[in-house]
Amino acid sequence: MSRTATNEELLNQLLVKEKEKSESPKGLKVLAIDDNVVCLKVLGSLLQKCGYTVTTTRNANEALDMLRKNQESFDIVITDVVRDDMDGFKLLEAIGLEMDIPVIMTSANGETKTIVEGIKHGASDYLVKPIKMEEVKNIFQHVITSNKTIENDHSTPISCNDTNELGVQESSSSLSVKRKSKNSLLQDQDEETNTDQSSGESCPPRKKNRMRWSKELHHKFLDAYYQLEVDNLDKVVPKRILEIMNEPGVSREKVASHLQKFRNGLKKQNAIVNQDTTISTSCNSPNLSFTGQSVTKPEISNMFANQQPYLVPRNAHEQVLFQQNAVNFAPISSYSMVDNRVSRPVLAANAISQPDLNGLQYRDHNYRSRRNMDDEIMNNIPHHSAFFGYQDPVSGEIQPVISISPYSSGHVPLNYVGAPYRQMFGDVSVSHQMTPISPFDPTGLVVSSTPGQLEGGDLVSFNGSGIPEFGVGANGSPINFCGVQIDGRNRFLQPHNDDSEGKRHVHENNSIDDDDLSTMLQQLGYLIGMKLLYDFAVSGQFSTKIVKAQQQQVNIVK
Amino acid sequence: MLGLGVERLRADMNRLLALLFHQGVLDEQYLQLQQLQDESSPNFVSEVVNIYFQESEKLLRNLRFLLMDREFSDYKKMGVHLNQFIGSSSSIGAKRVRNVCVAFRVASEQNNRLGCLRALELLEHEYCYLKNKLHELFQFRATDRAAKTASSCSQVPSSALKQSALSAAKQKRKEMR
Repeated sequence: MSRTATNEELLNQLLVKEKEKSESPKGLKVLAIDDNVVCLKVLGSLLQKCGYTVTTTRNANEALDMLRKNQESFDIVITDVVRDDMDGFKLLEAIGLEMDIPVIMTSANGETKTIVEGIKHGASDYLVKPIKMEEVKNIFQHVITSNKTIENDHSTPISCNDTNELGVQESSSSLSVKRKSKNSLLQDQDEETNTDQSSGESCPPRKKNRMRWSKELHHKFLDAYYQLEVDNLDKVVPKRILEIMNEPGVSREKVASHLQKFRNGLKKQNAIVNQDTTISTSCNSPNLSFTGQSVTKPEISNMFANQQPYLVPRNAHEQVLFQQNAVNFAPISSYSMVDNRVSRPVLAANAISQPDLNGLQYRDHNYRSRRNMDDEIMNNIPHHSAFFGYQDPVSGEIQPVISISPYSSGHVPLNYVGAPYRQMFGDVSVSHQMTPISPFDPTGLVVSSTPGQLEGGDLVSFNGSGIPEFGVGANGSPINFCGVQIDGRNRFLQPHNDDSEGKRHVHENNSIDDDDLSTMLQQLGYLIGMKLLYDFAVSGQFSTKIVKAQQQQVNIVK
Repeated sequence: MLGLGVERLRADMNRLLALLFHQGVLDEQYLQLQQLQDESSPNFVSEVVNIYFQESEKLLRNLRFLLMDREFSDYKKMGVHLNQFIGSSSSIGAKRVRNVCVAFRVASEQNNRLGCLRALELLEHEYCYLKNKLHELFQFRATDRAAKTASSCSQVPSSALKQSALSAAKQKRKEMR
């Protein structure tokens, strides 16, 4: 009896040791591919010396076969760049497409250009020959990084299905933004973004068979969801959604995961509303919501230009990513969240208590008035329509920024921010969809009051004299505002005659303190137009200072 | 007597190695190669270097062939060959050969035929020098190892061993000149 116990203990100890062994970098299985026999031999020996389990091959196709047959057995691949049978980059791409293994490139060519190209193709690392012991010792970290990615994938199962949607954020935004989103693991969206990001680094092309929730599909999904929700909440099950959707290409599992994701989004929204009551009150009254900007600093330089990371690839590397991602990447996280509100006619009453700081949304009764006012502005200050569009840097198309969602039965979200929803939502041609203003902060909780603090939060800037600046900004972002063309093509703002409603909610602003108000006003002024502000101000709800300032601006505009 | 011979042999070997380092023929990568040699692979260095010689000679032949074609020299292919050469040379720590290869590659990228020819000559020269020196070094090492086994057996007359080693070394030097 005691003997068996000790035996078991021993076994356990051994198992623990084995586990430790497998977790430590020592046991890593490495596949080394090199055309050059000398290098391969040295590399293999180096790897062995470092405690890795090494398989070496000269032939790239052989290596691919090995990887295909037994994907799991290799933790990491080391391959050279220049080879006779197959270009190292092609091999890298093939590996990245088919499997999730970190790849390290080696080459005698230490030119920065080649290194950049290697990393762009998805290499985890690029080692210039001669390969040193220290470098080889440290390759295990790439395995850890990729394992982390896989773990994340498991924790958010949906991301497996939706990984085609790589947010445009990480493809074209600045590094600091990436870090920001990395650090704030507040949300699934963030995690998903991270997942995509890190795996995107190791292998940018996604696995082929992953399903993509296109906008049409998502709309069908939402249709089905709300149809069922009206009947009975309990009936909202993936199977029935699938039945209603009637899409042969979509499996029940995909719908299930998408539904889960969607519900998570709903929950989160509610949580946000409960968390921040001040914001919700300030937003409830006029039902105008926006990211804050301090009105006391009108010298914010070119607010639209700050949007630039989303629109314009800033260097060659980003450009490539940008182009690669432009079509495929539509972050389900961002649009589903938005769509939750956009297309919830059933819950429309609820919607009023759900402010969206990121997208200017007008719901229910007052959206009409907003639209009306907007229309007024459009008519009165024609050049202000420039607000509502930007030229897609990739396709050159003019994209309306404000749009009425096809699901606008209950309320209409108006988004005044030139977020590039072509990138955000995949295909733009399908329908106009609102976009969240600040992709950094999908929760909408962070309201920056300092200009420039929120990089993407600014919309349109005023220079010191209060003259709005449109078009190319200080940092030279090639954004073209061609509102006139948009007017002709997209009727995103429809005329409405209900004038009286226009000022109905103005009086509700009493409770808001001046700072909040200033912030809002600033945004408003910049976003919607001077006329509107003037109306607001004249209604006597704001401090005289602001009124003066705004009057000045309005005068200038006029 | 026996111990003295081995010591001398080692001193000679170290001196040669130091000379090669001083001349920039070899670099620290060669030392790393030596570190990789252990009980499991006692001849690792010479194995690798021998493969290197085979490959390099193939490459040199190819390069000369490519350059001899006066009408059309395939500079791109030359670049690929040179990349290989650079890779293997740097892997074994043949610094000077590697440097000449880099210069060669620059010339080939510029489609500079004359520069390529000059670089090729220099490369051949450097390669021969390296090969001779490494052979010399291995000769020492082989003798050293033989001496070691001999001393452990303490049967083989040491003077004869030492004589053979020294004569081999001298011969090599003559060849080199």
